[in-house]
Amino acid sequence: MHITIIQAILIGLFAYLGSLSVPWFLGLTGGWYTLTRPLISGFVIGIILGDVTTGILVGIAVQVVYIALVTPGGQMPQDLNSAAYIGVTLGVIAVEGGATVESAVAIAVAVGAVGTIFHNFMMLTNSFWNHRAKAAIDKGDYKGLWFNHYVGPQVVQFFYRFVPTCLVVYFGATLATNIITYFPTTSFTMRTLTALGGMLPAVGVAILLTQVTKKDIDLIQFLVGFTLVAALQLNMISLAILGAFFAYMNFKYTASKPALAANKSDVEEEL
Amino acid sequence: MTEKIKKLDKKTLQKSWWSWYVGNLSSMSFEWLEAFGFAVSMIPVIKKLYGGDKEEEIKALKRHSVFYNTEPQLGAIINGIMCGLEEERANGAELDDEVINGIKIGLMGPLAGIGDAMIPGMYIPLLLSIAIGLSDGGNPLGPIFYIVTYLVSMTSLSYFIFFKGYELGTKSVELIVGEAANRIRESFNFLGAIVVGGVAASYVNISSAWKISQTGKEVVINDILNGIFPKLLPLLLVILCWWLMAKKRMSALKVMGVLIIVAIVGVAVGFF
Repeated sequence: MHITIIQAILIGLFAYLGSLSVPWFLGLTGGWYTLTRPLISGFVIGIILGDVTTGILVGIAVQVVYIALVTPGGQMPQDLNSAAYIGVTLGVIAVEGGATVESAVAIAVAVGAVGTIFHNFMMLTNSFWNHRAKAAIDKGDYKGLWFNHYVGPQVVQFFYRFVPTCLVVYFGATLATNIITYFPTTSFTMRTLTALGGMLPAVGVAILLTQVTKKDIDLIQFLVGFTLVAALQLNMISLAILGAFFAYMNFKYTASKPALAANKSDVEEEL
Repeated sequence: MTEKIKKLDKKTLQKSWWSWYVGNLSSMSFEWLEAFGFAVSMIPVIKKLYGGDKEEEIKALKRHSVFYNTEPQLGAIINGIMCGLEEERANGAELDDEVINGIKIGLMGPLAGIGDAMIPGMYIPLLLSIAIGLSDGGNPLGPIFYIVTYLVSMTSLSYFIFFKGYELGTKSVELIVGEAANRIRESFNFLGAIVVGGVAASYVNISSAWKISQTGKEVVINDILNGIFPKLLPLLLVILCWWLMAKKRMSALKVMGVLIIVAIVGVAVGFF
């Protein structure tokens, strides 16, 4: 599939808008936590490339790998932005060329691993603007502070995100389209990528499990959800409703404890 | 000298919240993270309270440009609290730099931990799981649902919590770390664990191509496994990854490395 310059530029622009630190689209909330979620980027890329269905299918598959990615203090084990824009775009093109959605996941995750370099560069070069902002504060120069907080860092960030995304997507498209001729579906490489891409979502799910379970026995909640879908073929909305019911029951029946404790302390205070 | 009481009007507070909400990470670096995001968000407040007194303005800017890092969306509550404290200070309360910074630094850590656990660790995965369910087969309803729900809920929450911080001061933190909040969080965790089980069952794809020939009949290993429990292999794989991370303390990247080896070996021996 051929990709036009305009399409590459649009994808580059969204990649910039969605990258961490960019304020223009509701800041962190609209950028990093919305535009850079692969489900959303898949949708956006699908619209730009004129194939929303494939965009979303690839987006979902990549999304599950990163479903519970937490980046405390700006530490980034995987650069979600390059996975979501460079990776998903190449993945969508590869899938249209005949590759499996699973192999697209493996490609996106590989891109995400390399992409951390852009993030770390930004975190380093921003120190330059920070020192200038500090100097502006010492002089009480509001304009200088504003410039060195918004304009300077964002111009640099634009180059870190827009240029690589644009170039890789534009020049990588041919390679991605033909990936199936270099590595046919039955080749060792393609079979490995497909197997790997099918397994990677397990990592995302497992990360989430380590975050939401306090005791090992809490895994039973996960098992219930898994069983309802795997064995009883429930769809996700029905599962969410059932889950909400259990969560509500949990909330309702743990209510008595803190209420008692509160009453007790009230009594003590009165005494 | 008698002065009239200085009061931050709603418009100034809204400006400060908005500046923080969109710009908190704009100049992030390893060295400073959100320090200048905080300082810039205090500009409208500083101008309102100390406007004209350049020395006080610079002192206030310096006070709010020390290293700062928290979960920015829920962390807006600290900005609200700081606006309240600065207002008290401008009206003569004895709040020196150390007291103000002490409160700020004391709150940012706990809020970073709880905020990260709640938002990217729980709320976002939950919304994404539902959105993924809605997107089944490539339906755009899922992404649209996520965009609308997340932007509306998070923006209103951040705004609400900022003003609660301003009105109630440090007491407002109870809203996030208190008993009621803990219980709500636990229930959401409960829901999250159930829903992600469904996501795993739908999107972890692993099946065996192994076949065993026995007395002329061909037995497909995958069918036997699924006969024991549907999608047994994906389930075991998730449990394995969880065990490596929770019990063996492996990082997610290392687990991915393990999966690469499993994939290569698996394909080489014809298991996949």
